[in-house]
Amino acid sequence: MATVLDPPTDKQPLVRRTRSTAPGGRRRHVSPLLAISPFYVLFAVFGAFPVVFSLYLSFQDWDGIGDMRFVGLQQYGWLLEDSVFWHSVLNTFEIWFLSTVPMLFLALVLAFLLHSQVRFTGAYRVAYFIPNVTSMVAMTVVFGSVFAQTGLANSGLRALGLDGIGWLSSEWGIKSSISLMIIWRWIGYNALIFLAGLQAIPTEHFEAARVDGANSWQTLFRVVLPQLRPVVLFAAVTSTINGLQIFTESQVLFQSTDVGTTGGPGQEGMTIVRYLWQKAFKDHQFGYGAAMGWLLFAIIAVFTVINWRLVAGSDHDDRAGILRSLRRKKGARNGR
Amino acid sequence: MAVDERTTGSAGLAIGAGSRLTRIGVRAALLLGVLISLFPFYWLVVMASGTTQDIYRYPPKLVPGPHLLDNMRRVLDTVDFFGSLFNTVVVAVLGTALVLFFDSLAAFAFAKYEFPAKKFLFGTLLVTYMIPAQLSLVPQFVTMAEFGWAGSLKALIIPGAANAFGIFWMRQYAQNSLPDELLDAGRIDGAGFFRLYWTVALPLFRPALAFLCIFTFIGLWNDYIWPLVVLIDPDKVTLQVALANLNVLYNTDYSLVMAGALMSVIPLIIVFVLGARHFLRDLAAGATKI
Amino acid sequence: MPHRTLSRRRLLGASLGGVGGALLGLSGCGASAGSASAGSDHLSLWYWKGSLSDELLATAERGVPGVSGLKVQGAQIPDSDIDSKVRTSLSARAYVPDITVANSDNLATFFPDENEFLDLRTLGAESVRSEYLDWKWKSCFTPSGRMIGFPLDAGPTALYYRRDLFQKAGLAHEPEEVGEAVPTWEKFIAAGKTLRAKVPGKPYLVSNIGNVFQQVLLQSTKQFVDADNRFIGDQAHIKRAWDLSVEILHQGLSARITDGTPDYNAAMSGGRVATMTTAVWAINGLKDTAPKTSGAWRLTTMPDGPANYGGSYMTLTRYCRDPEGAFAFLKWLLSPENQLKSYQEMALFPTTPAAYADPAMHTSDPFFGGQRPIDVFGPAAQKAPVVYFSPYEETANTPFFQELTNVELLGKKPDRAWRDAVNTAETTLSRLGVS
Repeated sequence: MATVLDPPTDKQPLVRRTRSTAPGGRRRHVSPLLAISPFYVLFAVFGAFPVVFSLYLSFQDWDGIGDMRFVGLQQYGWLLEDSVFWHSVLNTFEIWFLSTVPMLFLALVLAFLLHSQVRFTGAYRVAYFIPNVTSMVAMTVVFGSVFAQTGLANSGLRALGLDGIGWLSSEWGIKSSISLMIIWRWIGYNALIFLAGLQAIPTEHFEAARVDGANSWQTLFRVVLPQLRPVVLFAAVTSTINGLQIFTESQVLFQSTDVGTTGGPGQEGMTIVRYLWQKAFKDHQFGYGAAMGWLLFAIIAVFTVINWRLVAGSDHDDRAGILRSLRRKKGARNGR
Repeated sequence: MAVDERTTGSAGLAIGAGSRLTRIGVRAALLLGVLISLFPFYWLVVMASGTTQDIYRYPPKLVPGPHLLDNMRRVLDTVDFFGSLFNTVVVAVLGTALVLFFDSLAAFAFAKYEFPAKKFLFGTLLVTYMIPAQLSLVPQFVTMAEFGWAGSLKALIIPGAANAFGIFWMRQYAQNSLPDELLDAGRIDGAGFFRLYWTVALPLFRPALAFLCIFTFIGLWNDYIWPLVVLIDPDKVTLQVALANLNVLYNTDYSLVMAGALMSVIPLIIVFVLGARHFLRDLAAGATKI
Repeated sequence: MPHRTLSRRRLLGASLGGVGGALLGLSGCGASAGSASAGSDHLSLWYWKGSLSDELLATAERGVPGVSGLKVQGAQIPDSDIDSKVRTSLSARAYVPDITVANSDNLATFFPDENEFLDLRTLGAESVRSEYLDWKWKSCFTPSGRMIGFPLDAGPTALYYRRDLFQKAGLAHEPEEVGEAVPTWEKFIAAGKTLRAKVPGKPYLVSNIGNVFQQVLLQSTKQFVDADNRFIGDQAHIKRAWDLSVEILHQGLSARITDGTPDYNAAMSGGRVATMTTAVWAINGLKDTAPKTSGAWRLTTMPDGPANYGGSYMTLTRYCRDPEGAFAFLKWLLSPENQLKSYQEMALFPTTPAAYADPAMHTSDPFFGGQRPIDVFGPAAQKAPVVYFSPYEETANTPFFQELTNVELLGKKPDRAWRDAVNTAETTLSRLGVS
């Protein structure tokens, strides 16, 4: 991720010259190194170490209380044979697809609408962003009641003379409910990102298009969308990473005590992280959970790369272009 | 300047170029979107102010009822709401303060100083951002257990006290907005690294810190899976976990659960609306930075 | 135990290297003694809502009668989480409750970690043995003979039914008659068909078929894994439970609602479900869920006879700060007099037979139209078969409950679901050394 949007910049600070001739030798490095050290210390202890340790753990059979038993690669073998695991992978992708595609599309539309609007933009932004900042637990509780058999969603359908849907009790009902919650939560966020991308497109591009006699649609497809590509890429990658780690919706919606409906009826709401949590912290199979963490990591890595390829294509110039313009805008705002 | 640019730019867009009718259409669509966006909150208020029977009535009752205060009082009687709120505030405030301090300090060093292995260290920082948290959910818990931190709020505050995103974002900002001349002037006055950071850099970082502050605060406030895993004592949980428990324990009393949900949501909405100006301005820039 | 703790810590210290090691050294020493109540003046107790008498707990919070200076503070945890939460605290060796309630099926899952719990015999449990039901007492022991549980309540089962709906259907509707008219599951299904056909609003017989599966299962002395650690879940006694449940579904008699969801609450209060096949402890839950149906319900013998469903235990963890005090608390809380109080208040069925004869057990309940619940649950408690539960029971039966839900809600073919359930159970168990 970082490399795409990472600016190639770094205007060398003027001070550097002065400092390198300054006396003090190695000691002058102490302060900056000290300043960055908290991150690296914390990362070593709470980031790097757990990652290495989780590799070790993934080869052990361990309930967290008794002694560890080495099972080696067998653990991954079991995981690959575990039908629930694969079901959770499939669910996760289905939910991801059902939510991300419409969400990004609608966010794009919303961004265009917002862009063409001059009044009340601040209020719109706040209103559209609020879903993203509110607690997922609370909102899942709300949606859970809306999607109940006798909940608001089905009351609405009934009022229209339609039959109710098993929102929380059928395969596609469950996936649609979770997807709708994700769409609701992330649409404003992505729209605001797209909006920033739109606003960063230099005016000359539109003028050039107009001079060439392009109509609105041609402008949209030839000028706007290509320019937006890096921003869309960013949104797609983030949505993928978030989407593959869905947990709260599934966990809070299906907290019932009924073992038959763990992760939702038919386990249709069982996502990868939900299953990881289930195995590690409900069934206390720490090694199994650790192994699942690694497979999740692998899946995320693969999909991030694919995503990237798909959205980014081979067009590197545009990306550099938009980054330059984003920065230019920012510079202007900061008064430079 | 930027505003002019934007409006002329939008004139070239498909939608912006339309007639009066399209403009009304756009406004209607936007308002509809706002309604959808805010409706769940309204519905939460309706449910929290009614009775459990009201929630599943057909046709549904679409306006708030008279039981809001009553339901809220029952929440206070049922769970230690203020205790959970206090825990959440402690985690969010302390966690945010540490992040702001450590991140801006590191960012200042990365932006304005040279030191050995700087490129390598910065590269590592970016790589760490790509490791999904869930990969190490289990070992992190075990690490906390070994530290004797499991169950304590420390486990929610310390591990995330400096993060790659914040450092990266602050560094970008520092490079653009912290003039070297100012630092040089400070140096001539004999200021060392930390004094320059405190007296020169930090005041100039204010806008960026405001963004990072709200961003981090919201994240810590709403975190669910990690507190769920690492907090053990049911009397010592954050709001999110308390609410999830309430949801299961009182599933026959939905107006109570909804009142609890409402109460857990209100403080953060206030914080957000107050800080929205700072936050939303930098959101896109901040988000796309990494 | 300290040995293992040490070795784990050393492993971490070594792998963390200098800085981490130093941090570990710093924090490791100051770590709490492990008990959730460390530094307080009370013992901590984890339970779920409805598993203990609220009134007695309120007393214990002020001070356990007869034990000077002993206070016990309860904390509620959802019953679906309590087992895993206890395990989490044990693996963290921090905030472990001094005392905890364990579900009947969860006690066995703690057997492999029996040393995490105190052996109650060392605290003098034998001295009160004669007061408790023999089968319940025996079930408190691990295979190695450690007594890690103390009898809390029992779970005799009954058929809860809506008298008004049965009457409208023209069926026998007084408890005695219903018991005679519905002696078997087959007759139960037949009654369900009549209900659906004749009562306006077409009530369902059951909320979901998992409940029926559970009951038929408990009526068998054998479950999924036998005492020799062999998987017997593919045998006739399970298949019968499965087929009966599927039959109820195929006859359209299940409301197909998950218990404990808002829909369940709505269906129960709305009279859309005519019966419940469950244990005595469900009484309070039903009263909470459907207060307006008070007076309409009755109790009678379960088709094919009673069973014991659930009923819990109390345990003391090895982190318990005051084992003697904690055990004194258990003896007080679960004494015959207090079990009687718990029954009256919470419908927790006593495991102390001395309570059964007490007139207070024989009061009538307006929720059941003045019927005396003990008339049904008393005999049921005596007739319930003694069932063997292996530590792997939950692992083994979970796939069956899940596949049954698949059949019920998602329309999966029953034969395929059965095969999948057997396969999943076998694969999972083989990893744990059960074949």
